[in-house]
Amino acid sequence: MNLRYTLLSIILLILAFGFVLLPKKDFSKDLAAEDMLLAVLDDSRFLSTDEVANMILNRDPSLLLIDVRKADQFSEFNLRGAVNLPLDSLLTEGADMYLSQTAKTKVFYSNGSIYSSQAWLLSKRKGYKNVFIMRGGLNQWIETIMQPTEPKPGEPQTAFQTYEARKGASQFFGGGSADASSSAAGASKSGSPTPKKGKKKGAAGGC
Amino acid sequence: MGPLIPNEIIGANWDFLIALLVGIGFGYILERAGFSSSRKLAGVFYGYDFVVLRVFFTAAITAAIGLYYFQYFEWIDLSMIYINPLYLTSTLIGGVIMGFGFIIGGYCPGTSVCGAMIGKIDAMVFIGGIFLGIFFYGETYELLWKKIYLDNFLGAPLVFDSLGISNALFILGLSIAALLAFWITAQIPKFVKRVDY
Amino acid sequence: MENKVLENKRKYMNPYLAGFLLGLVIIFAFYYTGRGLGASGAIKSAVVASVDAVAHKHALASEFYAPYASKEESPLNSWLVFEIIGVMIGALISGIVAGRLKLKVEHSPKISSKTRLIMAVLGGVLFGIGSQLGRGCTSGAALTGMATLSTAGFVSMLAIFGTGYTFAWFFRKFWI
Repeated sequence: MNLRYTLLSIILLILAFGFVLLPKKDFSKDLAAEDMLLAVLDDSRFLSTDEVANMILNRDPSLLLIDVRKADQFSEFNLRGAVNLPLDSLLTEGADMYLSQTAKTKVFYSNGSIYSSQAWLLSKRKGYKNVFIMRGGLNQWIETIMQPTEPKPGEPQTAFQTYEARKGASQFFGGGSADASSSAAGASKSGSPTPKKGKKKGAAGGC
Repeated sequence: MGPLIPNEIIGANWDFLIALLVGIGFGYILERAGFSSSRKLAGVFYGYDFVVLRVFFTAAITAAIGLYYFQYFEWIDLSMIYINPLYLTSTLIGGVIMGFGFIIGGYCPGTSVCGAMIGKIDAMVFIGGIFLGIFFYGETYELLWKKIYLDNFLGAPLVFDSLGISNALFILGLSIAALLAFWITAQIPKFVKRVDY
Repeated sequence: MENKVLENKRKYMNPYLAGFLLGLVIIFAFYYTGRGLGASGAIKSAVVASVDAVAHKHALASEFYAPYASKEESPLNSWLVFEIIGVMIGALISGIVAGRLKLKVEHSPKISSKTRLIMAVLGGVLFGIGSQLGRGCTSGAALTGMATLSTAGFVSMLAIFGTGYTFAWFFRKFWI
């Protein structure tokens, strides 16, 4: 009885110890957890809607807007020039084509910040460089860019400057006045390259 | 290279058949090892039967060692398998609630299914309880749980990264810890009152 | 009594062998499908399907049900549901082979059947809530999570069993 268990224990230990002896191989292109934490704590992953609007206005050639919402939501409304990479396609080869372009400033957006943050985490872990999140997502976009509120007299000068810039941007994106309807505003149904649907999908959740 | 279905080496329509096979294996082993008896399961908390600890630990170590050897031989791409995301707050609170559920109800969802299939009435009502619990959670999700459910998201870290050691060292440590646990728990029943069930 | 215990012992599989085989099942599952075991997920599918059938609008309005209820296919058409059907078949086979099929309420001699059943429902409710909050139960979060060496799996396991051990003393009369 005891001998049997001793033998089994020895086999287990040998198998486990084998890993220690095996030469190291690097399987992951992933980021170490510590670096990940630093990146998460660092606020610089966010771009404000104003910054993004400004980049679009100035036709910044390095800007690559990535819409991580579902395809149907994307076709309903999207930001000019954005490509649609739904969250579940983010690890595919099709997505890799876009994300691996290191020279581009890749900005994720979704309706809020949750999906874009998840996309950002994923791409960070995959080691993609130069990725950002549009803070507040499309909700914030509509609130600040499409329907900016005029600052009250007495507010600092910068508030007025921001308002002016937003007002201009909202006109550029087709909103026009502050009461612009949000549905049509800023949408560009054509002209955005549709990414190739990737074929490989990661596994979904357990319990 | 595995995983075969996400890598499209075999078709996705095999998914459900494999689910069934995995389930049959899982159910057969659980029942066969005695996980269909709540008093046998509860033994792990009172020192009269350590079957839960033995099966649980052996399975986790076998699978971990196996998977990492598979990775070493490049039979499986571990970056494509599902790693549980860590939302620290909800994982901890959920775990504590489940701990109470375990010590009060005597089953966990998987074992209650096994128990119910061999005619344990307490297992059947336990499943009814899970149903009610999930229903209650669903109805009150936005009100009570949403905030803690999404709080403290830390990505999907692996435990050896979190501890800052290599995976080899962690697996070795876990194996030694398990062997020690097996040895210690083999001595305990000598000191506690025997429970017949 | 002595005989019965001995007989049971014989009919139960050696726990280490069972654990080893279970480990192989987990590897098999990961190798083929990239995911591990689970149990509470199937019951969740059943809950979503029921709510969806009774009150479709309500299901679509809820953040909890909507992701499952809004799909074309039934929420019951999921991997975990098939897996749990497998668990039922497997358990039944084992029960038949070992001759353990018997309708009964198992409880400590110190409590009545009724108390045991009430406690079972209560424990089930807690497990239902906890498994949703913790993103998986003992099999999905703790066991499978530990097999992949995920931090979440270990945190989950420590939380479940830590709580169990901490409070075991208060509930001892239900079991011993």
